[in-house]
Amino acid sequence: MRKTRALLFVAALAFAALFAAGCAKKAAEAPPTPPPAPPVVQPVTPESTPPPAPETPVPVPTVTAGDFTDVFFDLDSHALRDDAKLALDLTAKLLRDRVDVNITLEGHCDERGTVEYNQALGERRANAARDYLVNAGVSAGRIQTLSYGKERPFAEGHDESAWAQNRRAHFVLR
Amino acid sequence: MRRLPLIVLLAALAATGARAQTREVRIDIAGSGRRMQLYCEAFETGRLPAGAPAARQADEVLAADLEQSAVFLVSRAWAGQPPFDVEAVTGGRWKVSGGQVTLEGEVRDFPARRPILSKVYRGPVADWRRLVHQFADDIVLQFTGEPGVAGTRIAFMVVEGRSKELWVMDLDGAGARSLTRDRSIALSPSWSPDGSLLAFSTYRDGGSPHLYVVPATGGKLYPVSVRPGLNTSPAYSPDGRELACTLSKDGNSEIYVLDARGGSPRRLTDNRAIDTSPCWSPTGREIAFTSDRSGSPQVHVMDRDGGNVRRLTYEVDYTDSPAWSPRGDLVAFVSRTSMGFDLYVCGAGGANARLVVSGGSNENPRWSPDGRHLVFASNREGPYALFVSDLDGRPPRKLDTGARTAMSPSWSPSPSHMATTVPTNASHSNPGGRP
Amino acid sequence: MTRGALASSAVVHVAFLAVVFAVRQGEPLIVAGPDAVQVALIEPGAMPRGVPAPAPAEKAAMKVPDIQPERAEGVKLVPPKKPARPAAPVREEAAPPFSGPSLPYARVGSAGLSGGLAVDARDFEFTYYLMLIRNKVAQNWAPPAGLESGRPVRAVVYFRVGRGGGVSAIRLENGSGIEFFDRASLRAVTLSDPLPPLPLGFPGSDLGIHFGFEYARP
Repeated sequence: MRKTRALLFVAALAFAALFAAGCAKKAAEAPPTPPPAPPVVQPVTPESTPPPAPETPVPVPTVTAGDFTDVFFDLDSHALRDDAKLALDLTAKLLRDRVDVNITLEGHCDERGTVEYNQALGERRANAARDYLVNAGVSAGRIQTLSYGKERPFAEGHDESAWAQNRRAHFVLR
Repeated sequence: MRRLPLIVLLAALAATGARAQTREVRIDIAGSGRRMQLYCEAFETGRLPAGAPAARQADEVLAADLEQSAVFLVSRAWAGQPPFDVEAVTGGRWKVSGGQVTLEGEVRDFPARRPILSKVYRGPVADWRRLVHQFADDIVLQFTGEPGVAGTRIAFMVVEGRSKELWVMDLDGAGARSLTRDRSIALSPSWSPDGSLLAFSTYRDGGSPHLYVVPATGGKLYPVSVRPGLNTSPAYSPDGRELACTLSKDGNSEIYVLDARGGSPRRLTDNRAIDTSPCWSPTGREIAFTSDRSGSPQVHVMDRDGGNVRRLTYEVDYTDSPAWSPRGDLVAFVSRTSMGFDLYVCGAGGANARLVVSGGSNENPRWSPDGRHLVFASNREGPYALFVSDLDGRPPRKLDTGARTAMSPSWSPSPSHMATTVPTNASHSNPGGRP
Repeated sequence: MTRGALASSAVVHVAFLAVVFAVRQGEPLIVAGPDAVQVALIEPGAMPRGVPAPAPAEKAAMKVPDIQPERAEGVKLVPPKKPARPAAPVREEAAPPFSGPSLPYARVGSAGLSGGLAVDARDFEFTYYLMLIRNKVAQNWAPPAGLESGRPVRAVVYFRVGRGGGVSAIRLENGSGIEFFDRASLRAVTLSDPLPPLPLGFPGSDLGIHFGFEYARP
């Protein structure tokens, strides 16, 4: 009986040793996972830890698309009207307060230009809105621009009320 | 309104001498504007294997090709029309065997039926339409000195819900197929000069539009320019070695020239205006484009190195979408109206601008390779569809896109001969393929 | 225009022609040579209206065949310098004698322009082809500036068409005396290259064409 007990003890030891070795191996494999996690490797637990949450300790309301007011333009123009500037002032404040938010500005046109000219004009409109926000203190890296020309109209009609809807710079949350 | 030709028959009498001959001469009062009258007789055919294309189908394809050429007025024997006042007759033989179709095409003058053209075309049965198109184009060549365009293809965008996909079809609507299935927006197709590739702009990558190239018979898409900002309006140079396009990578929408793979960007315009929609002259020495440097979009012309920029025409305001005729003599463009766009052409030097199509909105004009026709997209009859104008004052005719909403057309170059043409012993006519 | 009127007109013209040709002793179409001026296959009366009726047998228009239109300054040769001056348009063809059919002058292309042509091959019967040539060349002709209104001028250009339609051997056969008019005529032919291919039924290797341009600025 003593022999088996000794055998058991050795087996348990061996098992523990294997277990420890296995853990070490797994810990060694943990770091290469992609997320830019903090460089610390915790060898203790086998699973990788999720990246830490943003720093703000206080819960914040979610920013939605409804918090942004699109900016509208006159025919053939990328100049910012006064109403556009007012809307952009509000948006700039929001973005200054919420540095966690990044956006894409889409430029759009009504159907009264050619396909290719409107792609360029839409870009002008998106850039005009972006430049205004950058001037108002928003870092440029947070704003992407993109032009759809007249390819993604918001209103399908063929009159001024539809056209006015389509000449815009449109905000999209990234 | 056509005027009847005056026919005078006379017999020249010879009092002596052996050279008495009868002459029959037509005198055409109306002069050079009149179309030649052709009479299409049905191809003779023996028994055809089951499932073979009927000779009558080939008859109809030929007659339609000759009509759309804008060179001929066509009457059809099989429709019971008599050969009234025709100058020449088409016909021949149609044989199918062993998976091959043979068309022996003939054109003869009328009524003497002296031979004008005789050629044999042979190819796989599946290609039978192409053989008939070749015969039609050879008939146009025989009567004008330049081949017809019945064998060409049209690339265009089909609107499917919120997407636009790139499609290609024969000029008569057969063989329509899609080349993209991205459920994105594809725009601005441009044929390579040898007809093997199509360059276009697409939003398929999720952000700004990029330039891609796809084989015209279908296949993989190859990115050509994925630079930041806009990559739009590609246009192959006439020698196929370069691509003009619009890029905004340097902060503003400008015209660049890339090599055919999309590298080595060479900037041509440099100003604060929008510059876009480049279009090469047929010599490759000049480029027409749209610029709003004067305040509103106007078509301009510059040398291929970007110098010597001048506005194309002052006779029309708000001009865009230039298209340079392959003959070099005319430039087509659009001008904005309250309804949309009208189509104009003017001389390459900018003179003599004239309205060629109005009614509804008419966009994206592109020339046929023989410079006789303009294809464009129009909502003149409802949803956008493709139309062709022959620049002769008649209403444009609609192309058959199978009830699909179609936009942004582009006309392929002339086809190279892909079926075998076998000159008969008696054939003295040009083997074809005249540049 | 009724067919009956046409038919009777045709009969009259045929009869007239029969007389004319009988007198001409067997050369069915064109008689060349210094004393001959009748060229048109079709009797002038049968020609489309608007074409000025030719003056037959215009002796004053007799020319030495190989005269060049450029004036030799200081050399007061009498007739050859001014053949185009007489108001009556001359319908003769000088130079290489030809024996083939022709198309009469008819209004084509630009306003005020009439074109007519004759070919070298004796038995060329494809009138459609002659008409194609006339129409294409006339379309490529642009009126030169500086011509007096109302005064007809005339030049004849000779060229050869190969089987494939290629144009060669272009030269001025009879000048108008006005250099830029001659050049406009030569240019119209040059621009028309290539012409349509020759019809299969014509056995020759090429075809010589004498193309007459007649212009009276409106």
